[in-house]
Amino acid sequence: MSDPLDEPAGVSQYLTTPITRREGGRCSMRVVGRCRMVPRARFLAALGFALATVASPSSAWADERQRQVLVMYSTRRDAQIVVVGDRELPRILEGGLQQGVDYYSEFIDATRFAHSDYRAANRDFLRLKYTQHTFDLIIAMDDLATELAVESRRDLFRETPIVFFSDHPSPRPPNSTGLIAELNLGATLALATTLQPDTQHVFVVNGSEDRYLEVARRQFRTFEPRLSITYLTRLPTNELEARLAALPAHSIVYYLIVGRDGANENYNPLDYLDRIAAVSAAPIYCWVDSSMNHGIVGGSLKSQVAEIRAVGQLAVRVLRGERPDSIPVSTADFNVSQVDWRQLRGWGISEARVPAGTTILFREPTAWERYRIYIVGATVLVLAQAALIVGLIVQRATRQRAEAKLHASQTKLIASYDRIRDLGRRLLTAQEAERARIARELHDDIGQQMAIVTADLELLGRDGPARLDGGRLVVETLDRARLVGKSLRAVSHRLHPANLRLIGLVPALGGLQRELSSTETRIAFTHDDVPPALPQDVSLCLFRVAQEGLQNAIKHSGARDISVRLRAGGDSLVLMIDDDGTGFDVEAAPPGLGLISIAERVEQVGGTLQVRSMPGGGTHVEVSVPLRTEPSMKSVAV
Amino acid sequence: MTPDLPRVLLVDDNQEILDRAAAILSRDCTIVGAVKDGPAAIDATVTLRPDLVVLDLSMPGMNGFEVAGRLRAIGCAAPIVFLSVHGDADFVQAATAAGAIGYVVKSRLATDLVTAVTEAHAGRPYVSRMA
Repeated sequence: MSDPLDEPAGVSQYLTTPITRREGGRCSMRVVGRCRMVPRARFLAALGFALATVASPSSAWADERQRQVLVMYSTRRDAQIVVVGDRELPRILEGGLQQGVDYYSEFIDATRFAHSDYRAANRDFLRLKYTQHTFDLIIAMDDLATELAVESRRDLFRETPIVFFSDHPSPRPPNSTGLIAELNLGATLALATTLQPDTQHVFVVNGSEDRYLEVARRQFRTFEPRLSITYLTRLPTNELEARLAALPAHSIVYYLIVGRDGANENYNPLDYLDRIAAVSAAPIYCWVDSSMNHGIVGGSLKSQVAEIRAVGQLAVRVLRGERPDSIPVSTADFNVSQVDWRQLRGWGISEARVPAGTTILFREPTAWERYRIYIVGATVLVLAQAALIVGLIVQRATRQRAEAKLHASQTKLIASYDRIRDLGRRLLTAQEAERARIARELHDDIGQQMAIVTADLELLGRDGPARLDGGRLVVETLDRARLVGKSLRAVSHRLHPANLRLIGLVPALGGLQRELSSTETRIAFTHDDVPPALPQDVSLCLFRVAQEGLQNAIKHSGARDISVRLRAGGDSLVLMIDDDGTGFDVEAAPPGLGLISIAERVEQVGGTLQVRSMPGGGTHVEVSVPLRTEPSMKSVAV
Repeated sequence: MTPDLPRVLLVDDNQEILDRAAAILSRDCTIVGAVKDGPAAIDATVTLRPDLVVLDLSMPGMNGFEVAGRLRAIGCAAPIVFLSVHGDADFVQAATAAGAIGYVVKSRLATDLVTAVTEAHAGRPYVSRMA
């Protein structure tokens, strides 16, 4: 069978005890002695058989007697198939029978015991060893074991059923059943050429064993001449290593088995595989799964576990009482496609070429797979931290902006407060100055005149018009009284123009023009399409603008020519005052009280104020107010 | 009073002016009423149907121009003589536009009012000499 690879470098041989091996000669002596015991054993066996045949299979199954099972392997005892078999079979058998099994195993190490007497020696050994045993079943793994079991039936396992395994079609012995899984060495080559399509050379490594070599030669023929196939067999190990180290490009190595090399040195085939894998210049493929993890890329590999389990299931059926001859010999395929991920990487073979259904073993997790949780965690942490930092920066910037804004608005507020305070102070001053002027006028002019009128009237009252110059005094007093009246009207007019209220804006502006015109300053007043009826606030606003503008032009800019234009257009009424005076820098000069009060008045009637001026360039004041006529004023139309 | 004297309605918010004007006109006119604001003037005109209205220009509420406008609007055709402290030509012009035939400055009340009313009654304009 197929486990040659598994054979270790000869810890022990086929025997279960070293004593037997050392005392081979005395063994044969004992054989005679034991032989006397044989009739009794035969009797017991015959009795057991008779009982088994008389009783139904179920009754045989029902009895609690411990079953004795002998497994015979066609390999050395440390082969991998033995390791797998001795581990799996007792479990399978005991599990299937649900009771303990008395389990034995024997080994035929034909590779190391190549001489012709080995077979007979084995037979004798078994006969001597098991003469007092009656086995319920012999499991024979591969041809050598099957042959030995059959041969031993003559004097030892006469009635014992056999369950056999073979890797090629073989005849079925009496009272047996079996399982045949044919060797398929070519499948590995097919996989190898799929993984490495540019393969041109195949170097088949084999030791002294012939059985796999023959199968290989037969099965590999179909790959020729596409592939040139070279068989490196029976070479001394150092020579083989030298050959493998110097393989041409586009080569692969197919490892069949080396248990003994061309120099007749024995090796554990898996150790040998490790050794050549270390030196090979080309990827190595194999055919059995025990070779995985020994430096091969992979292959279509026979699964030893699957093989052992199938044999075990068959054994359970027989032990349960089924007649072996009634169970047909079945065939099976235990090959599985496997590749070693590390070798793919090592030889630069693309994983994409691995056919579907192939198991990839020994895949090393990538850094991502291995540290995914840490990477994700760290990334999340870093991102969160970054977000936090960005958030803090944004927050700081926002705060700084808000602070700057606050500071600016505070500054503005302070400036505005200062301006208002200054304005208030100036307003108070101006109001006080105006009051003082009116008081002075009332006292100095009107008051004095009234005092004289009063005094003259007293004089007239005492002396009468009969007095010498009585007639003149009456005339003078009358004139003085009229003058007082005129002065009073002038004061009243300055306080509030009565004509504006009574006869309208245009006549009032005309009055202003006449009032302020002089030889130094010419004032021109034009008006165009002005509606006769205007709201009081609009009239007063425009009148005050004109009054302030004219006074500024006369007093501050020394203008010689001033034009006042009032024009209605569309929905607005526009007043423009232009002078040819000295002008001023609008941006630099702080607005005077007059301008401030004008702006205030204009704003109150929803209008706009523009002042354009430059030093030496005169001044242009323009006020535009929305035009809305007041129906109640129509009656005032003049 | 003789029937051919013009029947005059006096309108002024100042009682003293009303008294003075009544005294000045008493010899040449029949004073049918003396009222102190615009609405009363309009009512009195409707009920008393004066031949002539002597109307103060500056009054609280309705001013003289407004009263004149209303009188004309309700069909009153009586001549109107304005009284005013203002001696500007603008005022005179405005008064004329409002339908007045006479304009008397109050400082010349004693000398000008009788002439202005007599002229107005005869259909002729009269304006006080401006100071």
